[in-house]
Amino acid sequence: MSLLALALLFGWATSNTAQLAKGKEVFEMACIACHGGDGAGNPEWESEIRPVSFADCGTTAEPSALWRSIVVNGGPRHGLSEVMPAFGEAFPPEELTAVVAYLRTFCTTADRYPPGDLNFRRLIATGKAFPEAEVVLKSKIVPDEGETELEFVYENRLGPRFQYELEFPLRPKATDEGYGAGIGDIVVSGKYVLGFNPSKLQIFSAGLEVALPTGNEGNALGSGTTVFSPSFAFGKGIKSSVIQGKVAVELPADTNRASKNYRYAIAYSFPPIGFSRTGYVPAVELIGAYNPKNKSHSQTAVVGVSKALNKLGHVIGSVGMGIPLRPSGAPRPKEFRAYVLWDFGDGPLWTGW
Amino acid sequence: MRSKSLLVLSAFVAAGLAAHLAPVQAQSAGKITGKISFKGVAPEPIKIRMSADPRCMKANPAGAERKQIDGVNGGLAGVIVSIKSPVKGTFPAKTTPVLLDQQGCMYTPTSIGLQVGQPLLMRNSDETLHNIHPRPVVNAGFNIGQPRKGMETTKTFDKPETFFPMSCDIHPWMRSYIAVFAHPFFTVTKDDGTFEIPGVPPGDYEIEAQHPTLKIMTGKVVVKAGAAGTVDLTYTLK
Repeated sequence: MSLLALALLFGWATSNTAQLAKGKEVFEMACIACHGGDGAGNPEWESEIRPVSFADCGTTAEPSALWRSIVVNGGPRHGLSEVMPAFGEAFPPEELTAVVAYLRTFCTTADRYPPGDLNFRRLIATGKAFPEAEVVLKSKIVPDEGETELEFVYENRLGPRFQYELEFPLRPKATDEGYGAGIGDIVVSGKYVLGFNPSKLQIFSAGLEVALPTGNEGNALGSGTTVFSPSFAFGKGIKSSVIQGKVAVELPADTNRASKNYRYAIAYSFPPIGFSRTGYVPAVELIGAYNPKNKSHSQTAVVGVSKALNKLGHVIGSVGMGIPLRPSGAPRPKEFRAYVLWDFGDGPLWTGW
Repeated sequence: MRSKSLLVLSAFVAAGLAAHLAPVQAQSAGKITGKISFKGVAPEPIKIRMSADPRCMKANPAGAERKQIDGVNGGLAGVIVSIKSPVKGTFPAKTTPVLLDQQGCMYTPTSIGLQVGQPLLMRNSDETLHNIHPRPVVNAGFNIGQPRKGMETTKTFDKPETFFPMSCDIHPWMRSYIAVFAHPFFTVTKDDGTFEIPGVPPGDYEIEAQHPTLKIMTGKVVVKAGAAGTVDLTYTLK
């Protein structure tokens, strides 16, 4: 039976018993004095600093590259405790891989969680498949129309694979066309990871969004009816590049007020410039919507780049520009998009700088 | 003929430059000697609790302690004595490393003097994990983990700096202090408090004594060619 088949059968975190045995050996040599035999901190260690508990399954969301870099380069490189030393070249690559694999097993249900290696960088417009614990502030500005949109997003995880989300759209000022300011349709949604494969770097999830008619229809802030949107999202790593995509269908409760729409987004993220966790990640996206009732089809290309704003990489900013492609012949006002996010699952906002 | 003159001229220039840059010639150099003493009652050594690491306990079956004041016959050990006054000349960094050994879950030595650019060789002689974490203010710090017996790491400091601590975060009782100098005229006192700084150019100097837990003391000394200038300093412990 191949290693891959074993991994799929017994789980990504616990299947490679030989590697875990080596990892345990390294852990007991280099980590146990401070982190303790249970990974939650050695109570005998005379220090006011308490290390992160590896038994916290939230740590599964961290990519292996970050764990390795912390071991090699020490805590300060990633804005973490100065007490975490740099082990440099003390361990050959296979021992580093082994000890990181072993650290994962302190979360006893790690196999049920998608590993952080599948937690690909968030894009400007395309949704991601990995469940997150973060807040995001998005903005879209269309200068030619004098329009500014803001959106506050709160996402949190529930169990190994589920994520719930709240979106609060806001137009802070009236547009040039006379549409007033106000709150848009608030969206409540959930997402569940259907499957993942760490060795193939792929993850799939399904979700359901419910847009509530909280926005003023007359000001073009809302549809005037509840809209249900089942969706499917995927992420696939190809070496250091990533392809992510999402498809959804909008099903309004009152079809007299809103139309059914198909929405899709596909994105390609280039290999990171710099360290994968904190470096620049350029990306191109294609987002589209098709209305089967009037057969209208709109498409926008988005070119953007994201970058971690701190050493830990749990605060990220992104800027980009959207260029409408379809319908042909229609005005093509440029859009400027940006987001800033804080992954609170990784720690408080003030840490990691 | 012309080329021969140029050769001679070049040789003179080179010789003059070498005389300026080279360490003081033995026959013209003097030295500084002396003793750093203390009066009063030395504080009790601090008992060390090693229960966090069984391997440290095994290495110290009778227990261990850390002396705040160390020395014999009234002399104070581990004091770094150096020339504080400006010293004329350029002094290449010493290439001989200073060894910091981690053995029996203790740092040896506890006082380290380094010249700017001089290698500090850190060795783990124990069967347990140690880390070396200096906390300088002027220089760049580092924190190195040495999980295996026999591991060695070499670092240098590139700016002069007065005493700063260096410790093992895993075993917090392991602690040394480092002072970094722009010149080579410094040394660490022996167990009896005596010291000798050789190769000192003749001149009037102010010297400085640094101890990990005591205030800095200074003194004056005159160094003459081929002779020793002596300075003794005494700490009074309350």
